[in-house]
Amino acid sequence: MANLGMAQFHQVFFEESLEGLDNMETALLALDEGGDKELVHTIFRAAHSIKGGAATFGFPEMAAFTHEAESLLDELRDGRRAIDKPIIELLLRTVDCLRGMFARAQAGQPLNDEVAEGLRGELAATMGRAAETQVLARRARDRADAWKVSFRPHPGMAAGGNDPLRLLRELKALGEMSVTADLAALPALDQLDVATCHIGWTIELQGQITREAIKGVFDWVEDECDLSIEPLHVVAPPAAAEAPKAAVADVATARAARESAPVASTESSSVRVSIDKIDSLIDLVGELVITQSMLDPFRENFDIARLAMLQEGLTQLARHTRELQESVMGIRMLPIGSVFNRFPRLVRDLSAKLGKQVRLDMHGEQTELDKTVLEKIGDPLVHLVRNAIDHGLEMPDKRRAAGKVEQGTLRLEAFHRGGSIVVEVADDGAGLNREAIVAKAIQRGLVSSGEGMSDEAVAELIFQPGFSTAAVTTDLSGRGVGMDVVRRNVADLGGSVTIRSTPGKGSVFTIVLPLTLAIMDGLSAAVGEESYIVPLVSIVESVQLKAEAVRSVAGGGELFRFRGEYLPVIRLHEMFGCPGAVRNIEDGLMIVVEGDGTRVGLFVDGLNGQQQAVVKSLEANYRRVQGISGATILADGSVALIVDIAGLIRMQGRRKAA
Amino acid sequence: MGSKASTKGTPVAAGVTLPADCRLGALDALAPRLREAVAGGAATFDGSAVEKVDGAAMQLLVACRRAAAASGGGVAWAGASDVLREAAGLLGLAAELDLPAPMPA
Repeated sequence: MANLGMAQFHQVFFEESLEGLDNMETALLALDEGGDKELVHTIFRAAHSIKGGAATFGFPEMAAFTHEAESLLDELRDGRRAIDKPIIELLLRTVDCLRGMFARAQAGQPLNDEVAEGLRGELAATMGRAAETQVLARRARDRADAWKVSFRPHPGMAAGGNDPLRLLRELKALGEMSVTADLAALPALDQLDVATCHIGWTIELQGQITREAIKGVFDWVEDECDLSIEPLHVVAPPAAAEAPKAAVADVATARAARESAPVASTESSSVRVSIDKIDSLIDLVGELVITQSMLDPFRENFDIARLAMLQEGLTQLARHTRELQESVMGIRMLPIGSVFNRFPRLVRDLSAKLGKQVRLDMHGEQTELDKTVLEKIGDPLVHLVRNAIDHGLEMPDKRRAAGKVEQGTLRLEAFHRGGSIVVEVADDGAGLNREAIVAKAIQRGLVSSGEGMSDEAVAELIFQPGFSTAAVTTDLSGRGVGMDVVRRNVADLGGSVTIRSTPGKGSVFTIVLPLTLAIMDGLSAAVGEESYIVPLVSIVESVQLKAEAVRSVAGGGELFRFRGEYLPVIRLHEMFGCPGAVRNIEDGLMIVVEGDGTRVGLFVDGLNGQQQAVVKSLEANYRRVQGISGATILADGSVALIVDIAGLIRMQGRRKAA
Repeated sequence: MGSKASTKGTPVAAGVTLPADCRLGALDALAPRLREAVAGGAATFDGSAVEKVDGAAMQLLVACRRAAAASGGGVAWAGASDVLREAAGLLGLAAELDLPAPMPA
């Protein structure tokens, strides 16, 4: 599409524009809530930058589309048009449409689709309707068959990269042009600075051209020149804009088509880092260098008398290394707010569609999360939020009948807990419907009866594949993607999802995620001649059991009693086929671990100690292995595998079933 | 290819061949040579190799012609590319620069 030189800037343009669209959306939603009119300026600026960028980077369709939106925004800004719900709705759809265009631009696909075409028509039609109500004089000013344009570049315009020649060439494309150069200000050759603009132009343009079109040419240099555009001959206004209206009708269908066919993934491969973070990195590296120079003399001659100094140096080295590691990890950390940002819009659209009243309460947007985790947590969160609004919160009349306020509350919160990030999606709706879930589970053959099942066990059922409780499958949830997918996606990130529900009071979905995927704290456990790393977050505790504490049950499994419940035993050496491992329960150690809300005992030979593991992908270096989430390199250079607790529990379940 | 000007063919007194890229970035190098050429009053510019030009370059050419005329001489054209002629037209400088008509190939 574009040459390599330009392509390297495209990514930056995309990222900045998508950010601009986020800002536009946020401001539009705030306007919708009766926000300050100043917001219109924010929205206008965002649209203006995108338009300028699109034109510069060779996306004329996008520039033309944004131009329509910008014109509408211009009317809002000038107060020529009132800001009402339909306008905000239209502009929100414009934002969506532009996001789609960016996604297609990134994927190298054609930018325009029916949605874009339709929406562009709709924007034009909206403005056309307004024109009908405007005074004729205004029309006269905006349409003419000849224009006189006076264009006086400021001295620095050309030096700023804007060539008057290019502008005049663009102007010529609009119609018949005759140009007179004003050379009065041109200094003598010996006083001429080549980079300064001294020439002004008076241009006469013939043809059915709108003022907007002419103004559009000079958009980019608005602040760098004196410009006046005057009509020479006024033409009669055109007949009402029929064509765009015809296009409107197709928008809805086209939109449906678009939603069912999402464009390429927009996960970006770059990250923006604040300069503070980089400075602190440089500081730390400086410290490391100092420590190194402090330790250096010991290489040449080591005197036992200086042992204390050596120890101090090593302690410092350890501290700086740790700090450096944390800082480097910090580079990948971004606030979860960027994911939360999409929810005000989602909640607004969804509640309007369902006729529910929802107040969105967000906390902890500043909580930082690894970029990879952040990119992948969006979809599961969207699903949980949709579910909460669709299934969790009740209709206003039902809420009133239940003695609650009509407006339901959806709380989205992120915070640190231990070495993990917790994200909660809570609603004050009806809570899980135990009967409905059990009935559905029986119908689906997941359980034979709900008798004796704890509330937790019932709640767990919704995470089973193929489970969907919605009485009527709406287009919001129940699109075949269930809670099982949410759980699997979160598990892929090394996290877990649990649910807590109180009938009549609401439900809380809790996602626990590791701080980073690149480094994890784990316990190194010996199994035979091998070492396995058990993630610290999954460990409940470890116990040494007497042989009689473990009982075999029918079907080949083993159980042991732990704090009032019976937990299944997973013998790691059996799972992974390790020779020379301890078999006698009394000689080994039972590590109680938790994954996906289930507790099991991992039987290992013993513990080697706690250790930080730099996670290496096994998949990338070898292939995916069941029950193993990755590998790490130990201090002695040997490789240890990192146990995937949730995967292990699933494997055990299958072994039992087999 | 060289964007550097060379005086090829019959050497003309105070002649300058304009480079292919005649835009702002190239003017720092070109301007002194043009100034020197018109200092004597009469000069010949060859614009037949110009492929890229901008407003700043056109402005400089106008100033050169005016300077030469002021000292009793003038700038004659040994040739002008289409790009140069188009730019002069767009900027309303065709009369001022008095570029030669296109030569039949």
